[in-house]
Amino acid sequence: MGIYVLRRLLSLVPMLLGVSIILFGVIQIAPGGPEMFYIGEEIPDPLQVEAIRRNLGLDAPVHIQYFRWLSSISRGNLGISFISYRPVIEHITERLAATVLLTTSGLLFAVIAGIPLGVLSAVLRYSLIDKIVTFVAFIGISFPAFWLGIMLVLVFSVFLGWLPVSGMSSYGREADILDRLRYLVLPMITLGTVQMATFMRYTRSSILDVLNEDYVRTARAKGLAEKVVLFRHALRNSLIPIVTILGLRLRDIVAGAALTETVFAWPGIGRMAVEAVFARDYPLIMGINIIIAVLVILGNLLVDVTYAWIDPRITYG
Amino acid sequence: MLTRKHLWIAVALMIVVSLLLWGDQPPAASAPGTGQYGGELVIGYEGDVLQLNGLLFSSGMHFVTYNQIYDALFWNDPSMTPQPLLAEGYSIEDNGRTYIVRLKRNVKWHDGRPLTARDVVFTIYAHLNPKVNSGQRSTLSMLAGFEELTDPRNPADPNKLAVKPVERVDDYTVRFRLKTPYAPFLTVLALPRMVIVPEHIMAKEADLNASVMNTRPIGSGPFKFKEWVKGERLVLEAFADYHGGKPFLDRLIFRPIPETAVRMAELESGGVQFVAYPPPDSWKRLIDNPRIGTLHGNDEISFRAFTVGHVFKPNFMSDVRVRKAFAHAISLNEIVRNLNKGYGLVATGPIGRSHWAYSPDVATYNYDPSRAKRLLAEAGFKPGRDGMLEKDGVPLKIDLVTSLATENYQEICELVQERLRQIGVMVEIPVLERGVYNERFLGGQFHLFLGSWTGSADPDANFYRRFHSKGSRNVGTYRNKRVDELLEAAQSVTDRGRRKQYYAEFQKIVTEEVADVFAWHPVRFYAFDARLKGLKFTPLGEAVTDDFRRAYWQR
Repeated sequence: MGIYVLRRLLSLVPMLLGVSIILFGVIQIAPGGPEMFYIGEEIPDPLQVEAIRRNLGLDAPVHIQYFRWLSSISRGNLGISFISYRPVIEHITERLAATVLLTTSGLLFAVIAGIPLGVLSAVLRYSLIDKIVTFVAFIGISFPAFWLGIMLVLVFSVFLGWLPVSGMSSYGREADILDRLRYLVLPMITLGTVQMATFMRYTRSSILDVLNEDYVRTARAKGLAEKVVLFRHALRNSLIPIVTILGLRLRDIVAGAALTETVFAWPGIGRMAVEAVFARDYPLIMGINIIIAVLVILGNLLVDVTYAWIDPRITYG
Repeated sequence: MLTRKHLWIAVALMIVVSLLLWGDQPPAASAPGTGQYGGELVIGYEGDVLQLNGLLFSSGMHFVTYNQIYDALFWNDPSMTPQPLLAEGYSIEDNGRTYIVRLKRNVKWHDGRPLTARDVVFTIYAHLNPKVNSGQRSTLSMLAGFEELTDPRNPADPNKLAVKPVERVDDYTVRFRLKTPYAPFLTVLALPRMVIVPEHIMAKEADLNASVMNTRPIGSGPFKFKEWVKGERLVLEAFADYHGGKPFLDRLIFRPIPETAVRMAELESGGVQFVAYPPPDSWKRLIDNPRIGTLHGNDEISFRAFTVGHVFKPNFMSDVRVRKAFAHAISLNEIVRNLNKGYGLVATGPIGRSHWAYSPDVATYNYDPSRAKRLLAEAGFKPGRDGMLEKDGVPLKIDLVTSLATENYQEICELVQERLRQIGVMVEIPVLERGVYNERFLGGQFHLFLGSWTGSADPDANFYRRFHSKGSRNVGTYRNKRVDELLEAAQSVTDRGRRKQYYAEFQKIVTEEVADVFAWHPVRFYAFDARLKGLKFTPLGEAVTDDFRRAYWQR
């Protein structure tokens, strides 16, 4: 297992190199440039554009720019933002925690709500409860996150006044955990709902498959209580496809965070990425994407390791 | 290892936390002060502040934050006349080529040091230095030595110039020298982004783009920097030694809230207490809400127009009959009445009736689809097999470009698309990413472009930049030699009567030629907690927000 993890970690290097080359190319192809951030909505004066591009090091050929960036990153330096002139790593560390908090709580909400509802739905197959849960799942999958977010804000913040509309904490109460949790609830539900619905549907069908297996019949024949059959035998075995989905969905959660952060003015990395793209802040765009790529790859590795934990038959050598 | 027991504990915890949350009350909106002094104001705005260096202007909303931290030499009052701010007075010499500006003697920087002529000279040279990413450089192009100083390959040493653009006469007097007389020079010094930065801090810095001011600014404005939690809030505190007197409010808190609907929900639920430019469909609701105060009025120095692209291929727009046809086919009253909910004024030219430069002697175009059809027929367009117009086998199909995220521009463009379809013109409204949009807009890659032309205190800002053949916003590539002459003449004389004459002839020409289909003068709208007092309406966005220094919470 240790060797497997090490090998997977080493494969990060060529993968990230590939990601960075594609990304750097795509950024260069995109129209406009960071100079427009400084010039605003004026027809750019060529001399002014030349001066700003020279100051930003954009007068060099693209491949030289890329190698400069690569040599800088190989020394652990993600570069300097074209707009703030602060280190990219500083930008990312300021905002990463907010995104990690949002995505993990969104995922947790999806798992904690989705799996039990899926089990319930499978056990009470074709009952009224199953139909209601299935209906709710379809609604959840179909809602665009921004619409759901705004609706939640209208109901829980504007009409009922129970929860704050947007942001991450109240001014002067940054250390108050309960205050922060109140700000977290709506973005967490918004981000987690689509995933919750997905987990619910997969759990339902996976449990239904497993319930027809021979070992479940054997367990029942042994006279085990239905609860034990369901949770010890059926659920654990049906978790494999769900964990796979979890790995695949990590990417979607990170992408969804950008939208959720924008709706809820959540000070995370996703919203910063959107701003960086609009301002064509190349080093910041590169830095954010590399960090996200690393996180998603590590997340997938974690999922693979989890397989072995869930199913002892799976080993990595 | 995670057991079933742990799972149940986690679920139970979630339920308890949810119940706790639902039982709690939302935080009270920042409590307004009890007297005239005191209290804080939370301002919700669209974009993130990316840096706070007074030399490096960026997006529009930054004015709001910049102009609390920094002051300029002058400011434009509600009648759009430059008034001294850091300056105490001025005199004009050498037939309008030299401006002597005297500074106030009691101005302090936020760190307690006095503001002097050195700071002003440093600021102007920093803008002219090509190593600084200043976006304001071209607005200073009237200064002597501009070309030599701003050449990125070989910038001149200011000390070696025969005529220096700016000089310190004594600690509190500065002399500006211009290449030629430029009547609106004071309005340039009053631009909200032409703020003065501290020489005693920045002169020591090797790279002004990477200045400490980017994150911890020191200004001379009414509010000083307190704290910046990136992406979440920027906090400014009242500056007790402000030269104009300590502001009433103790604190300004700027919160970036990108989503319009959420920003409005924050305003209406008390989470923020000031929002600039809410969407038009919310205006009536806000006016009717007794808990919300509003300031709104027409901005007649700015205009919205369907700008004509004179070079975009296939070039249908070079024929004035086609442009006139479009002017007759676009129903401006309908746009203002229905889509803008009756707010705003239908424009007859690039400036409104209440402005001194307005001339009534302009060509006007009523909504008249039959006349539009006749004009297009005269221009050689005939209905094809599908009933849509074409000429020499080429269908009359035009691109109408706009920023779909702006106000209700998408709805307006769709209305225009329908009205033009009715006279046989096919209209495409491309959906463009911001970078592509900028490239097309600035490169004149459109037949029509619905845009916002925001004026400044002097009409020259909009007229010259938009309609002079060398104007920095002449995106449609409009060319008229006489118009160039008139705009240059109006810059060079200070006598308002003569300038009015030049501008009258200019307005006649651009309306007769349909340089743009002038559409309407916009409404400026601000919404805030009704208990906030002391704000005054001015057409320019940056001016109303200057009023934060006079704003206070009602007792």
